[in-house]
Amino acid sequence: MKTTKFTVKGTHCIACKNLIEEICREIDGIASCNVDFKTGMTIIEHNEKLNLGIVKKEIESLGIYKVQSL
Amino acid sequence: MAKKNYKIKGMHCHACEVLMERRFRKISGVKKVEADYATGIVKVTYDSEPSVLELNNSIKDAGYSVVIEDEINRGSKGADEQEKTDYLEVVMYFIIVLGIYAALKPIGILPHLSLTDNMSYGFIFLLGIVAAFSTCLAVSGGLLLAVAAKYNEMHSSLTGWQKFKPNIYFNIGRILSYTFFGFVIGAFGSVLTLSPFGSGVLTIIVSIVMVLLGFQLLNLFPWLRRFQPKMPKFIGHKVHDISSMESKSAPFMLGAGTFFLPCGFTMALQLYVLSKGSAVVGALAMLAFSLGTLPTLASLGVISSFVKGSLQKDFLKFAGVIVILMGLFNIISGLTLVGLDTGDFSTGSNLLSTPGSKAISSAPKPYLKQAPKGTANLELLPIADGKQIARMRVNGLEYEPANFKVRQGVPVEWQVDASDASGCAHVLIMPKLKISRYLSGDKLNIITFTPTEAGNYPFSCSMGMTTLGASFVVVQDTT
Repeated sequence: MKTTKFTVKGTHCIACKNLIEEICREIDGIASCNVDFKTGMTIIEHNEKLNLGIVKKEIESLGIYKVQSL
Repeated sequence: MAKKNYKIKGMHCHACEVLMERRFRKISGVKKVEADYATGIVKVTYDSEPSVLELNNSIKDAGYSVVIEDEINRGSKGADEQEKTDYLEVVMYFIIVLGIYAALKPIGILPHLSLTDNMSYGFIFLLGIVAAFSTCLAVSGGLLLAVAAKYNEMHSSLTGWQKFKPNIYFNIGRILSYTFFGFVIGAFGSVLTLSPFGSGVLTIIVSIVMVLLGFQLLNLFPWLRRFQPKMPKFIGHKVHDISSMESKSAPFMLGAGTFFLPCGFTMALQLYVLSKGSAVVGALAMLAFSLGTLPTLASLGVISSFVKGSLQKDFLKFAGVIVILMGLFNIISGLTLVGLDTGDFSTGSNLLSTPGSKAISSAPKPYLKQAPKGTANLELLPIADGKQIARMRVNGLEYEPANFKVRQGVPVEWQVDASDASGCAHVLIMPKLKISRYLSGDKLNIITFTPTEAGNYPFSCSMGMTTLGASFVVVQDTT
């Protein structure tokens, strides 16, 4: 298990938090996800094999957010 | 395949839309989902119709709910009628509010409490209570109401107490900032008070925000909702933080900021504190005043936080109507402060014109021969000791007389008796000559100025609430 932190730009409410957490949990290899919508700080727990590029792509595919520092 | 529209309560942004679509799509039988947060409608295309309970269960943990009564089928007559009754309802609310206002106005809910030169703190506290029912409420209260109502609408699942919490921070912020700035003004003078022009501009901005929020509350123009999230992200982030009052600091700052909002009583007090020149007196006077306004503002918060169900819906509608009316009213006051000749407003013809037409309305009107409406028959003021003496009484919010005609280049001595002035009428401003004076209720106030250019010089109280069209007409001396 590994923990990765990154920032999601564009989050502003509980709905954003729920949405991003929901998307992350559906990605194979991610065990948990926590988003602070005020800062955009996102913490995921995942296995070693996870391709972080997929996480970025999934979140950005919504067209609302930008993933930074990943 | 069939289609059905569901009204969802709680959606307010793009993320909400996506969340709805994802949740609903997981329900078996559902083929396609399209959500629109601006209208609150989710279109569901399905093979087998999902039950409302199923839909509701899939979203309720995130704070949304399916509105059952308002379940509408697309394109059906039902939807049209629904819209129409909504508009009728809004018109009805407008009529009720205006009716209440018209009924109360002649009774005069505003007691004529007068500011004097030596006021006890108990008296200032009383003044605060009165102020909260009048001009102050128009801006601070209106803003609080608008933001609180918007917040409650967006977070309708919160408990009353949770909704009320931001109100506490708002009021703490208010009281602390009043005390602090009272101290500063007492100690350092007028550095921090806004010029009439500055507060005029501020009034207009705040009023426009209020009107927009009011329209949103009434849901009159669904497209208006799009203004909110489509702002540039860096601004949007901040604005949202403040308007949604998620954090403690945002409502606190909002409350603290109300010190700068134009409130006739606050302005009069600011000038009063200024004249005292003492930090302690300033701080205590402002503290007493803000404590006086507390009961009203706090009860506004209680009402907006704890009403439930259909009552809450009514409250939001009423709040929307009141906020819009206050906003429109304040815009006119703001224009007066900025220096626009509101004599034009009293005729009503220019009410709907945009601020852009200001240049036209203040341009010389040759057909009026220098004298605006109502001043054509004015006599020139007599000259005594080389001065033109203008005597004026302030009765409540009325100037008696309200119009003077003077010669260009001759000093004017303006003697103002403000012993019966109420509220903001204790501050007299004339934007063109940058005159801003606190009128004492104890003695005759004397303002002297020398008009160097011919023209119309409007004056009013600091809120622009006094006699419309009050002005000095300056003419060239032809004799």
